Amino acid sequence: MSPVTQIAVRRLKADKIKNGILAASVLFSMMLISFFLAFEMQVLLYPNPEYEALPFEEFMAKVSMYINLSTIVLVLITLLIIRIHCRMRMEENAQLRGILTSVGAESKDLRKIVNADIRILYLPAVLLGTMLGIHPGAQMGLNFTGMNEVQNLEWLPLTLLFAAAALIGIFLILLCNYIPELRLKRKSVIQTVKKQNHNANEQTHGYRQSKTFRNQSLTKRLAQKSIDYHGKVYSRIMLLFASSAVYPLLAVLLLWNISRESVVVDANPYDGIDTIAPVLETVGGLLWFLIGCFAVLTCVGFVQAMLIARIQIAERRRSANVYRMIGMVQKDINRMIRKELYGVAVRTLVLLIFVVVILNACFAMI
Amino acid sequence: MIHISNLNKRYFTVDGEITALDNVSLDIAGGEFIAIIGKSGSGKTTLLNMIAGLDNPDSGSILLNNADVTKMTGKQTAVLRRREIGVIYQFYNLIPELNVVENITLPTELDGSPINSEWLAEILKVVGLSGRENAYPTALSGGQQQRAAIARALFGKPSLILADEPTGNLDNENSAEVMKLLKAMNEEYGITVLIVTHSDAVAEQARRVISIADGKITSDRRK
Ligand SMILES: Nc1ncnc2c1ncn2[C@@H]1O[C@H](COP(=O)(O)OP(=O)(O)OP(=O)(O)O)[C@@H](O)[C@H]1O
Ligand SMILES: [Mg+2]
Repeated sequence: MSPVTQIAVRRLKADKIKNGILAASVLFSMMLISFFLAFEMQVLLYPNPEYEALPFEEFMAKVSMYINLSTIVLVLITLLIIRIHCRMRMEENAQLRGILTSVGAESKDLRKIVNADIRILYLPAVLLGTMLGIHPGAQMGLNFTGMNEVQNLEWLPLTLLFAAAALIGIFLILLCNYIPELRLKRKSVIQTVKKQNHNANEQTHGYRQSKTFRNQSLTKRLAQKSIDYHGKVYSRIMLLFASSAVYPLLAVLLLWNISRESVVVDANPYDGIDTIAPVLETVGGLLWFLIGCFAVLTCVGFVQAMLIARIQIAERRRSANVYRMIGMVQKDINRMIRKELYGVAVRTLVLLIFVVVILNACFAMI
Repeated sequence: MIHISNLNKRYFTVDGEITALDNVSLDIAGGEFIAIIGKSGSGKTTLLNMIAGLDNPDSGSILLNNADVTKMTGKQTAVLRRREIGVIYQFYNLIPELNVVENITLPTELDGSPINSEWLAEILKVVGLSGRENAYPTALSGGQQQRAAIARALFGKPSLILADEPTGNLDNENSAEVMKLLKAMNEEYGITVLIVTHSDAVAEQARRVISIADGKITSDRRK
């Protein structure tokens, strides 16, 4: 093993919980994505001829559309989360990259840090998640078209689907990982090592300035300044919380819309009660499965967001030491950090409302 | 050994343009022990980083053994840092996940060259870290960390060592220890040493002292 890979592996091990949760969230997202894909493939490729006469066509087409949309949203959230993690990891590793460069590591060596992440963290999660999702998805599709008795699962298309889904997952992960890498390459590594001092200077400067007109809203203004300065960090926390909240929202919207559709089927005057019953039962099963998956994703997402928020807040407290050094009392520092968090919470909420409105509009279009 | 001519470097910041290096020319022969002094912000670190190929000048050239560092690719300067140049900073020198020996042998490992364990033992003895081979950086004192960084710079048998305030973080005793080591490297192994410092006591030990102010060389004294 090359020394850089060895360092990267030790780094991964040192942060087991955070990395484990990231892997779990990628795994479950991929599982849901491949579940949806397999379900749709089954429904689209092998429609049940007996259902042709029934008004199921329309219902199924709609369910497919909902699922399409959910898959897209899931892919986007997964991408977002991986991207945020990659950026954070890049920043965490800035100092390491600086030292390594100064002792003669080439960019080929530095890339090994990222490669270790991909190999150890993402790749197994993508492959395992895709694998776990495909079979239940296809089975659910068979049930859904009422052909579970008639026909067995076909393995060739499933395998092809697995390969395609896994490839797409891997491609997206590579993209998320190497784009920041390329961007970093253009920046001097030495600057990244030096950066911390600049941070501290700027903060002291800000406080000294505002101290000259001491008044009640000082902490508030400092908090605002800090949100602006740490904009990237806070928008990251915001996005993570928002995206983990999107899972349950998506679930609720999806379930609500599908259940609204099934009322139409119930109410139809055709006398195909005995075919409708098993289909509805399957839809029920499908919904329960989705509820389960979304619940897990919500929990994983939330734990992940909490964990990252905690890390970032701890970092913020540490950088707030500068304020203590120049005589700001702890109470004020805490109040300032609280104000910052409050500001972030408000922004998260606004973002979420925005997302819900857009999602709902998309569902309504179907 | 080093031939620097008309080196310029400007930074563009929110406060306007900063001239970090202003037409710097300098000749350094092999085996010299040089101290660079100057006020904070005068451009010392910038100069050192450029010699090591860690930063690019706007114009000018740096010939190191007749090869122009400023024209080299990233890969070539990396090879240079692994084989010819040892760099030591004030802090953040060691990789926290690696123990003393792993840190010291890292450049050689990166180079894919074999590890000479006799040479390793000798260096550990020279820097006084025998018996602490398996310690991780967090378990070392500031002085020990700095000595480990020196050992790492020395292990690849470089011809040049660039040290940026290597004693800036240390008390007098540890500082003297580190300086003794750097001098020994210069005298016993014939390595050229270029050291940036704020301390007069440190600068006194050099045979040549170069002062920099506002990115220009203002004096160049030999003893
Ligand atoms: N990345 C950067 N962006 C903008 N300006 C920079 C950057 N790096 C250095 N400078 C400026 O270039 C000048 C020289 O910096 P340098 O770090 O070489 O100083 P120095 O002599 O090493 O100072 P010190 O003794 O404090 O370490 C300074 O005015 C500094 O503000
Ligand atoms: Mg400096």
